[in-house]
Amino acid sequence: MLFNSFNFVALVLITLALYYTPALRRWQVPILIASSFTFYAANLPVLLLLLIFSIAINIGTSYVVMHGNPAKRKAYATFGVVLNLAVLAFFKYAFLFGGMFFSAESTVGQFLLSIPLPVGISFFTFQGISLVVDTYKSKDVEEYKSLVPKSMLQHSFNTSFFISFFPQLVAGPIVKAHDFIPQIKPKFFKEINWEVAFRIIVLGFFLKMVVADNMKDHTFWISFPEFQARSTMTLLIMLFGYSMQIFADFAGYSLIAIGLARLFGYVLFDNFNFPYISRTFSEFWRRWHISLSTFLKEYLYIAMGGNRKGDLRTYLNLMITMFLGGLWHGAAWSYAIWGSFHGIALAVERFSSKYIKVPRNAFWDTLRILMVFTFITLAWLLFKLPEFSHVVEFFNSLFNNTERKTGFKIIVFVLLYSIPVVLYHVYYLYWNKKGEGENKLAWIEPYLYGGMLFFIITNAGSAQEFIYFQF
Amino acid sequence: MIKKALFTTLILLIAHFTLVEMFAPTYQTGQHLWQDNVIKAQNYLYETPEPQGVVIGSSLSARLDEELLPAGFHNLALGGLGVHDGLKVIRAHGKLPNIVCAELNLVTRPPSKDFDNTVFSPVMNPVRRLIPSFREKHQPIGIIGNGIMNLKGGKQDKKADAPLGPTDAERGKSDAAFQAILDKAVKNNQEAWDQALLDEWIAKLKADVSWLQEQGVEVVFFEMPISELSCDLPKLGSVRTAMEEAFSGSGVRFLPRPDCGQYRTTDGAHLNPASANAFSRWLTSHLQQDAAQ
Repeated sequence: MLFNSFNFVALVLITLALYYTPALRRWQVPILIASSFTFYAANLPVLLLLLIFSIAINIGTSYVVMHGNPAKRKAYATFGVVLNLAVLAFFKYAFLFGGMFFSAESTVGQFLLSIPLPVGISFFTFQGISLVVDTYKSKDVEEYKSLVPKSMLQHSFNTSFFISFFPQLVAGPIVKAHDFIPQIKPKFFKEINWEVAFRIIVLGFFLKMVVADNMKDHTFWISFPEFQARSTMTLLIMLFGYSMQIFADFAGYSLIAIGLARLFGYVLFDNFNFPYISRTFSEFWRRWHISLSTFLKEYLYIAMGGNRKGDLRTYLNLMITMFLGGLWHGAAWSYAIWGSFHGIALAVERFSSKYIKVPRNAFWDTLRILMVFTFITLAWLLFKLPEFSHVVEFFNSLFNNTERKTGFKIIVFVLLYSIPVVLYHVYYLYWNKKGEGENKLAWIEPYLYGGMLFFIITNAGSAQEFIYFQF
Repeated sequence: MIKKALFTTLILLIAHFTLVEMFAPTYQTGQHLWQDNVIKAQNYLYETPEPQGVVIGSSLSARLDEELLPAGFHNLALGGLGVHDGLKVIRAHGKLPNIVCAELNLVTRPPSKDFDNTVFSPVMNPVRRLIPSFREKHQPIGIIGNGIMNLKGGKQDKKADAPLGPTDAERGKSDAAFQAILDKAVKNNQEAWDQALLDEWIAKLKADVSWLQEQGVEVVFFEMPISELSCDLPKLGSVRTAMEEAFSGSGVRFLPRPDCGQYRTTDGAHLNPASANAFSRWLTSHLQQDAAQ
């Protein structure tokens, strides 16, 4: 069920109406669970069983970690994490790894091919892992003890809600148990911050429906073999456009999820913080898909030792974290390569920062932003062309198609649809420099949001699933 | 803040509606192939009260020039889509044409769900029917972007009377990149269509054609010429044979096979502008000939 579908709007309105009915207040959590299950089952109902199974694993393991035999806490927690990863590995990576040993035509290969890829499995599995690990950490962190109440019924409702909450169920943001579960309590209609929710939702739908959904029809020609007929200039502009598109698609979705959660009284943290103004790769990963990068940092990088075991080990930890982070995005080696590129960039940056001090001024900052943006944009090619041989072909076309006719129409529209993303980042730079109190452009905001709403109504592209649905 | 924003939206919508009513651009406003299809479908559905004749098919027949087709004819051929999508649009119109000319080259192309959802949306379809400014061709960015293109002067010359130029084979000898494209097209046409697939889609087509005939619509099938190098290969032959067998005795007309050697393509399949115009005239003359008989 897409966020920009009439079915979804109907689901949200009905859920809101029931949710805030005073007589039903004590049923708020079950109402959201029911809506979330309805949302998830809309695509392929049988996969709801998988979601329920995943929830059950996490209810059971987190409960025994908290309230079971203290001597076996670590074993229970390890079991819970391994079970979560096993489910993810089976549904998502079985064919990738099985394909190394079995051909697609064999019986085993055919079976592996037939395994469906449940929407959102990467997201809700990680949330389950977060619950199990946070529960284990409660031995050292006092406030985590309240994550798992003694009542199994209460715990089941909380966990089902936490994992299945529909705004972020299928494409994030990845929410950590210690950030979400403490928020579970009765919510009141009068507590809704309508202005904040309005801003976030309108911006989200604008980025998704106007920028991303339109841009995709112009960057379509980056696919193989279409790109072979395009000129160098057209390919470069389309690649730039794809960078804008992937940001608008994913940030748009995240904003819609965050805004919707606000309507129900829940605060989800920002998932994107103007990533394309990053001067370094480490800054990029503090601004892009923040929920994933903080999850990987907290539950993987730091668990492996982080930067506490010497330089070489730090670089290795970075590489492994980014390799696995890349592979999380999809069951194809191109994603692992993408992650590795970022891992190498982070490691090299960390190493070189010890010896090279870049001055902080407008010139150097701009140069660094452009360099980081260029690298990131080139790396996005691995998302658009999962077959690595096609990536090589793309670069071949990029270097050799200088004599081909330039597609001015594509260029005009890619640049037009890129303007909002560029202005969005520029506005942030201006606002950040001036500080909130000195933001002399604040008066323009209602008209900006009104304009965005106008374009959502009159200039939406054809609906397409969010790019990150495939993860 | 919310009230100001909503008021701004309302003002912009009214302004857009007014501007569209008073100054609707005369140039093409489609941003890309997909949107061109939707615009074509919406123009047919909302702005064609009395369709006389319709051409349906894929991007092959989308190149036919509507102005060179018989009077009252509309080219509803859709790039990337096919006859089954075109038939849906015809049926949704409410007033059927007198004659439907269907391209037979790609009858196995299934209809598109995305096209369906966009053009036949149960909520937006009636809104667009009532309020023209909500139609795809009036999207503000489409108008602005194509306006910029018009300033640049990029509109293609129809070259209606331009010489056809060398044949594809001759051109391929002096243009290695074009030869590679031709080789690929030839390779794609080497194998006949899978018979089961042909049977499946022709059966669906038959059902639609029977329905049209019951409503008094004449149905004519024609074959779009492609590169002379691919024309006589098994793929196109298998479609034609299967179609003629399936529709034998059904009252459907098949126009004669065109001589592919008379036409030139841009990519082994799609006619160049001069050839597309020539074939448009050929189609018209055959339709008018048959009508006179």
